Amino acid sequence: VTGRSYRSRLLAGVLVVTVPLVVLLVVTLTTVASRTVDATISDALEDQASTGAEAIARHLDERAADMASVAVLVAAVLEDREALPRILAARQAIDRQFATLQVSAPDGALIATNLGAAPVDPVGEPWFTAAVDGEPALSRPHVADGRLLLVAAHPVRDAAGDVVAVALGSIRVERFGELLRAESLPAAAEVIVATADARLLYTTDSGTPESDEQLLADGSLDIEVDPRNIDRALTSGLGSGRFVDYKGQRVVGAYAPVPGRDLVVVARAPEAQVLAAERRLLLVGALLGLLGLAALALFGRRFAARETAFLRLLTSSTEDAAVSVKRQAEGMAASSVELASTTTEQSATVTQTSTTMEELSRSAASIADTAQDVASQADMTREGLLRAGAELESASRGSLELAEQVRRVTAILAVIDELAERTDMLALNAAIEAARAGEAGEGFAVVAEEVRRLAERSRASAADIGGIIEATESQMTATLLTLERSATQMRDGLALLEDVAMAAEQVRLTTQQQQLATDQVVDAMAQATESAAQLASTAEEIAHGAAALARTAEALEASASDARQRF
Amino acid sequence: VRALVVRVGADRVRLPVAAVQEVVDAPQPTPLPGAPAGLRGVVALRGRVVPLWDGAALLGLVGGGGALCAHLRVDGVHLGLLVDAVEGLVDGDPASADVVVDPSALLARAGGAAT
Repeated sequence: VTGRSYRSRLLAGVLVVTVPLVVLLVVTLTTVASRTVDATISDALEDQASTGAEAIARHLDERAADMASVAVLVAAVLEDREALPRILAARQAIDRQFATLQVSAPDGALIATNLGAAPVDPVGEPWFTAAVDGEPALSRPHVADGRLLLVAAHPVRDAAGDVVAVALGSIRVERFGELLRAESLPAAAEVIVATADARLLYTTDSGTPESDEQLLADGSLDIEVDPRNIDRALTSGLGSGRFVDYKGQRVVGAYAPVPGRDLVVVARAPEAQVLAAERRLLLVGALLGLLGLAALALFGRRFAARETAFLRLLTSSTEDAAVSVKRQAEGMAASSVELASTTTEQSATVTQTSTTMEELSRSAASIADTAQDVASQADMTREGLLRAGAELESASRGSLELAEQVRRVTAILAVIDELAERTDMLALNAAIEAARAGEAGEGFAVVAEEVRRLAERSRASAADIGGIIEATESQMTATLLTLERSATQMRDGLALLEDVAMAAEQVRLTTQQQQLATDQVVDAMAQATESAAQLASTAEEIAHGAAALARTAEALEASASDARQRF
Repeated sequence: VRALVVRVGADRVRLPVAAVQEVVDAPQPTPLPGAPAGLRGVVALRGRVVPLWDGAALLGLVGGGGALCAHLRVDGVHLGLLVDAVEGLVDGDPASADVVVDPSALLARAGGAAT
């Protein structure tokens, strides 16, 4: 099988699948579009017909209302026969919707018309009879005396409510054109108004005629239109269809009844126009289909060529890849063997390191124990020192109290000295008194002398005590100083001990951390040993895998080489 | 004749004991305005107001501060004499160096000074 034939088959496959799809798509689209065109035109025509019908109905209602107001006006001035024509003329001139405004007696006799207008003969007409009977009425469109008449009649009543006359207005049919303007319709479209007996009343083809005479000349109420459309409109309302019009033309048309009046509005457009639009659509559809087919053929060719080229490239690169994979697999097998032997060596080294680390860990533990001992001994010493310190302080306090007592003794001594001095003085004065008494006072003089001597001795004893106390005080000061010095030394010792305890704690913590770290290293080493063993076995597996891969690559290379021959 | 020996400065002064009422610690005198030199003021002794004289000034000696006061009564007149110390009562003749005071002469000197 050659590369060319593969390409052709690919192209044929693409076309077989896509061409029917394209044809189906074009046909469907064209059909739908044609229907849409038809529906759009029908809708526009129906719109126009119903809009026209409503406009005419409104127009006729307005005229009936006009006649009602005229009737009221006429009732007011009915007696003034001279003024009536002028009043009617003035009313007619306001909007010129009526050709003739007329007032007739109930028996049909003419009372007045607007100035210069030809009178209408109402005698025997059904609408006139209805007006005389008190009902407003609208005549059918009809021809009388060569005039196209569409008359609105309204009863004129006196103050008692009796019908004393009838007001008539002949509506100007030629002005219907103003109500049927159609901007949205195709140029060739036409709108007509037909009577219930299928006669043409007004067509937009007449344009805006000046008078009813022109309308009659154009065939108003003479030309017959398709009565089926009229019947359909009057019986079932708005509708549309295809038919042959009064000119013998095939048309698309819509019809709508004028509500409440026996009139029908028909809007129609030549069928040829619609058909032309549909033909244009068909042409565009066919063109699009052809273009699509051409594009498909081109795309299919390119697609087949590219796919083939891609496949060729793929097989070629597969072959290359197979060769490369085989080479790398061989290299990988060799590397894995090497890796396995290296990991075994590494494992031995790790085991050695682990042993050393364990020894290190034991030493650290012993250091930590020693540090713990030092710390506890330091603690004990410190407690002893603290106790001694407390005793020292109490001794110091005792010495201070003693000093206070000594001071009080000194004060008492001063009092004793004073007393002795005063006693001495008293003894002297007693001796003086005795001397002055001469012989009689001699015994008294002896007593006075004794007293003086006692006082002398008291003073001497007090002085002795003072000396002893002074000595005691100086001794006490020395003791206090010694105590103070001891306290200072004890504080220094305590501080030193704190330092020792802290240092020992530090040593303990550090060795603890070291031990932890060492344990971690030992764990890590164990893991490393395990990993190395795993690695060795994995490397072996890789070596086996690589050999298998090399064999697979060889097979792939053979297949790719075969495939390259095919594309 | 018995006498009281007192010290005024470096001198031993003999006062006849008949004129001596008592010896007391020198009281604080109330000064007298316009008083003659040697009259320290007046003091209360045994319920009397008594003039207090500086012994050194009145005897013409060089004296100390006058820590004691000898209360004398001469011819019914009381006066205080400031002396430095008391040695005691003696009998017999005075030593050659002693100053022997004649109370009447002393009174006359004080009266003369006062007038």
